Amino acid sequence: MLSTPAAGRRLRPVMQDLGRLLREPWLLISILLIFAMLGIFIILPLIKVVDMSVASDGSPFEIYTNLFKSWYMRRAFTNSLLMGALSALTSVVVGFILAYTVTRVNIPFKRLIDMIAIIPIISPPFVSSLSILLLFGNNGLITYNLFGIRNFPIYGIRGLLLAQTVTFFPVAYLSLKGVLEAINPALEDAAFDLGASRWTVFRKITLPLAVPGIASAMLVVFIESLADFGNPLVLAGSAFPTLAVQAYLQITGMYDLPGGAALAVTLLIPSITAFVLQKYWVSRKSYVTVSGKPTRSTVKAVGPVMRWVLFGFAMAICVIVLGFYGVIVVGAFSKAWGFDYGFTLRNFTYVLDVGFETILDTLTVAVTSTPISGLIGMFIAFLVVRKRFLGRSAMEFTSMLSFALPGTVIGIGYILAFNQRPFLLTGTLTILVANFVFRYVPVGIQNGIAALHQIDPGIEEAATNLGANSQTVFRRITLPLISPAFFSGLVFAFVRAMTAISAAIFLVSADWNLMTVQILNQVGSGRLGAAAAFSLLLVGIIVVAIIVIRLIVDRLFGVRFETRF
Amino acid sequence: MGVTLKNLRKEFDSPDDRQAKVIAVDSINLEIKEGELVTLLGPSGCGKTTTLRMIAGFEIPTAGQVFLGDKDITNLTPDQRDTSMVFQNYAIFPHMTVADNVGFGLSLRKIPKAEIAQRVDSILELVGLAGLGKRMPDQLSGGQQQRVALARAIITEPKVLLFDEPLSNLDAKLREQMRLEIRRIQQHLGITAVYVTHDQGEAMAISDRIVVMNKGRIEQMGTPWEIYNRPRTSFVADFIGQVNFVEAEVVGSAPGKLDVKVWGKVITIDHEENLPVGSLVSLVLRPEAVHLGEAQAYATGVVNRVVYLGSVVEYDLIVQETNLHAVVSSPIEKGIRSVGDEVGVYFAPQVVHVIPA
Repeated sequence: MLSTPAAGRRLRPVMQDLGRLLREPWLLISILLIFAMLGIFIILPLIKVVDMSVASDGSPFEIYTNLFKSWYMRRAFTNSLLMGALSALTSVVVGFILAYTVTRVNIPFKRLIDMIAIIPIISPPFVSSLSILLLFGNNGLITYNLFGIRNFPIYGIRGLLLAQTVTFFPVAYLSLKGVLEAINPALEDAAFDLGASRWTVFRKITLPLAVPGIASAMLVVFIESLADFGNPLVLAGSAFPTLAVQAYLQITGMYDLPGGAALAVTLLIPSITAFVLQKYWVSRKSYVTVSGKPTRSTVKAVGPVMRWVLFGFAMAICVIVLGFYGVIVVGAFSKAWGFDYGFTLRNFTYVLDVGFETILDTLTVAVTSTPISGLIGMFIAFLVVRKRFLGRSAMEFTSMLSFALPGTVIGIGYILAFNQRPFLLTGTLTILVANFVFRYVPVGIQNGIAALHQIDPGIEEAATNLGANSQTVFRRITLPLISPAFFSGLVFAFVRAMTAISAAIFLVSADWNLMTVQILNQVGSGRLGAAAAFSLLLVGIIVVAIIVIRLIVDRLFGVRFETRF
Repeated sequence: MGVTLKNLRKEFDSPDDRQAKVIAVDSINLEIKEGELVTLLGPSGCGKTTTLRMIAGFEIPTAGQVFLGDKDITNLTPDQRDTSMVFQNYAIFPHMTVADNVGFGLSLRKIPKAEIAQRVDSILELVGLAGLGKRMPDQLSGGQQQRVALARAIITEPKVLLFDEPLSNLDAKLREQMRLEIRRIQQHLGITAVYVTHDQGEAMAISDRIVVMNKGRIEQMGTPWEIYNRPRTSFVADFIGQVNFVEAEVVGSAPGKLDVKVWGKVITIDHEENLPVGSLVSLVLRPEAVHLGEAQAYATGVVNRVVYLGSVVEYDLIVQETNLHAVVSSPIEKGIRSVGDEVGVYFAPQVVHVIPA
């Protein structure tokens, strides 16, 4: 068949690409290596989970049908979807209003809003749950100390939605801010000029142009909410089951691995659907080009009354976020939350006493996985954008896919895939590092791809032309040029390695434990003060680490850049 | 070292139809001699840049071969080839100083730092940038960036220099200055060069030979003199400078000579090929070769439009119901005609060139 001329014609470019690769063995080897790693650390665990969920004899879907005979499990499924949809809605509404206010309205404290939005991103995702317990729980500052209520019904959908909104609105805010900044203000000026009112300009120009960005942000928050494990575990309570938590309980509580796997797969389906929608549909409709510096807006988009309303809203959000994280600080230094707010360092001595090993473990995992994740991310971006080889789009898809895989799925997949030779990794440092590297590399890749699209390929061609091979071009030209993306990729990798829990909770062991898991244990056993102290330590480590990473990247490339997450 | 292209061909996938192919370069053959500066000239989409990028190794030919000297380099990657390119937008590394940019190629060749510094200095001197080595690229003007790109390309002493429309981002004055500069440096180094441009003035000024390309094929190659005065096709005649195509009929021929009837008058012109009596031909007549008001006028024309440009006057004349473009230099000496004036039209027989109609 290959001898037919048509097939030969089609085959020739492929052979030529291959021929080129063979002349650069280093490049070929690294491409093969990346494919192997993506196969082992993303695809294999995924297959294992699916395989486990259908592994019984008889009907292949027997486990599923048995599982979902129970109304409780059906409820978990609908709850997860409902929670995802509601969180997406509230987070994007809050995020959009803030983003619009910051980009279009002349108000003070814009930098404060940016800083406020960063705080939830660099703290463990369930810290807002902890705050909610401190504020509205049995001994809550507001419920008990202020109103004397003991059993305020904060567990369930209400508390969870509040926690997830505080956790995820910054994601929506940061991406929508980028979208709104990228809309050319001349378009809005033109509409004003043609006689449109401010409201008409917003309704007919700004909003429609931002719709793809809004849809994209919603899908991203939907995916994150679906995968969220910490908040539901702390706040949902038994009356509001969700898939991620049930999958975990099924495995750790009932030792039912197939059932847990089936729940994880059920979680996977809406998540991947949203991911594919986001990547291949919404992003294609975007009117906004990735490139370009933010252009200066007219800052006349709203009237004086609206300006105050929006300013008030923005400040209210700031106060809420500061309040949420403020109670963590207070809680960490308080003797007994709800009863005695006297200053103490007891929580810290306790935490350092029981958790010192864990802190060292966590730092080891984060420090190991961060540079690997950062470099792999930039390198995959480089390959995907600048090189031609068979399977290039497969590489891009697979490496981005792990973003859509809920941590629960990955965690279960890892214990299934790596519990026997040749990949006997359970309980080791390697399995934790691999998990963090491949779960969070998509953000680095995405940043890298966006940065590369703004750099004239001629600059790299010039280096090749002067005799630099691919690895030299990457090291001396590409990486320094995209160093801002590299920096944010490193920061993201470090933050997530310190804060993520949903997959890691399946992978920790007596030898290698993580701070997030310990914090969750402290919350579970009601030691909120200790949990707060632990969280504060963790955030402190992250802040120091960001500064250190910045100094290192600055030193390496001798460039200064704006901080972006 | 010379460059030889043998049946070089490049097809791209059509953006509209997956099955269809767009032929960018259609099996061209070209030999470039050592030390020669050859220009690839043509309109956008004619395949000139693709050809250059195949020589550099950035595009893989669909068929055919590229030779550097006697060596087949078709399958070498760009970094393995002894070619250096000056890019259209300069492609200067924005994160490196001028000296680091220029020294980049040498640093890849593991040359000691002290030697690199010394060679960078002398090259910067050659391109007129002495003392600017410590600057960052964004502190340079467009013309200076152009010189950095040139310095960076020549410092590694490549066998072939490639220029991809290097002057298109500069303003007109600077362009004229830089093209002389490029020519001076190329001749000084005695290096083989391939130069891509769509600007015929640039091609005329700089080249040993010009290769005129159209739709992926070579229309004609030759010295600037041949290309301008002896164009082989109407495309070449039209693309290089302004031109009139005057219809004429062959009425007789002798070895090396041709009698043609133009505007009702028979003139004798030089022509190598024998053409049968009665065949129709086009005479390529450059506007500056048209003389007005001479006593021995071939025909009478009416002035239809006058454009005064200072050093020259451009006329559109109607001669026997067809348009004739004429450019008359030094109007201060020869005077200027008005619209509606009747003038005699004349040209010297040796200035015209015959192409088949």
